[in-house]
Amino acid sequence: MTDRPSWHGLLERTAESLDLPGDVVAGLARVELVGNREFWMEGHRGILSYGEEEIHISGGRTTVCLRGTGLELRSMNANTLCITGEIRSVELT
Amino acid sequence: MQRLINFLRGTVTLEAKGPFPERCFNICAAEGVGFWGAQQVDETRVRFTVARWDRKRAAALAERAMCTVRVVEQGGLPALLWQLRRRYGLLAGLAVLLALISVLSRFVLVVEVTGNETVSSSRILAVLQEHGFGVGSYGPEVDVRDLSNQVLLEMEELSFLTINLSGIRAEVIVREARPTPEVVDEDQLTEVVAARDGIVVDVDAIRGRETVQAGQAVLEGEVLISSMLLQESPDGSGEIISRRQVRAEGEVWALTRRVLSAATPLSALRAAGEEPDWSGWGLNFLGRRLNFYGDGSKPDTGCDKIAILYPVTLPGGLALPFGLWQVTGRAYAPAAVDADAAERWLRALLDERLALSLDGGEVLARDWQVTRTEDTVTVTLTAQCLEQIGRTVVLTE
Repeated sequence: MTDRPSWHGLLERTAESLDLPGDVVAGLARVELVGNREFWMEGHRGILSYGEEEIHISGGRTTVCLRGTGLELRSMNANTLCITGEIRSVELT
Repeated sequence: MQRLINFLRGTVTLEAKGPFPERCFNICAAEGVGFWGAQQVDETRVRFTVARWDRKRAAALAERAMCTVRVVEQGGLPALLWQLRRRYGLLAGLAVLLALISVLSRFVLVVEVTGNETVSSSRILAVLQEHGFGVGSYGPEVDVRDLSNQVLLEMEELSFLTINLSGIRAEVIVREARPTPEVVDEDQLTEVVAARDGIVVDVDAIRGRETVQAGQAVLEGEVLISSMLLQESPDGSGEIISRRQVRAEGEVWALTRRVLSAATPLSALRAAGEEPDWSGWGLNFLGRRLNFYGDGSKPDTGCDKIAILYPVTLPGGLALPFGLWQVTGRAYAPAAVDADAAERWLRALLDERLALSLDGGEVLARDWQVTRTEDTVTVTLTAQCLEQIGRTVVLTE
């Protein structure tokens, strides 16, 4: 099975080459970190696993893994979520 | 603010149990069900809080995520009221409180007077009280137009009065009447006569003919300035050739003698002692007094009765028409009066009376005569005064 570029990958590259915002053009997730206490994410696809020390969030083609202590889902709607707590690492997989 | 809103609308904490309980968050977020306080209990259980009215919807969504849901905790005002549903005494008290608020808000509890400058607020309030309006009046029954008409008829010094009722507060707005200027009828014939006996010092006739001269003694009622003007013959014979009546006006100053006398007994009834002989308490409710002691309506003769009101006062200083009356009484007993003190009091009294009766004149000399008996002390003041004795009288014929 060959690895063919998908429609989303094309949009990503187009946005990158034309210097356009990827979250608008390609619908990519947008991540914002306020210090190490607040994590915002727009365009998420849902929470994959939830715990006080580790939270996995789907961002479409990537998964965001938050690690820390006392993590808590502060607010969440269909597009945006906010996680508070002492964040030690943010990992994209 | 958000916490207050959550308290008022009520909150429910749900626990979802299933193989993937975090899916509950995704579904609730996708369906627009607001939640907060999300926490993981263990790998198969999560807890989150939703608004009370979203409880059923959140439970149904959690079941879609293959979770079983149970209510862990209910909070906020609706839950609190639901817990108190069997506390009948509290509910009865709440009902009574609401009833009192709804009933009392229809009564006038505060009356304010505005717009008065020379007429005192207490007098206006007293007249209103005589016509049945004051603290404790039932607001919807107040006929403002009729009431203002009645008060304006009684108080000529007011030209306008209205009452604005807003809840428990009544604002009495008044406008004072302008004093009517004295209208002098120039066609009316008058003459100036002596108001009392005296020796004329100066005659100042503005109009009319002077009939007395300085140094002349006059009796009360004697004409001082006549209305009849006489014109003598120019040939010097002294013959009166014409008469003309005018409105006589003027002032006549004279030396007068005043005799004033006053007496007072040397024994009187007084409240004896500092401590009250009896005391009682009463309740003030909307301006009405409810006594908690017997014989509260008996006449206050034979005793010194003092009532002190202790109103309920709000922190801002506004006194409410509720409070307690403390009534104390001290019985009268015969007591001797110091004769010297009585004499001093009588002298001051006579001096005050003399000053009031002179009306612009002055006292030239005083002579005091004091007579003391066993029972009374009598003081007589004989004063020589300089005063205006001319009094204008209207000629009827």
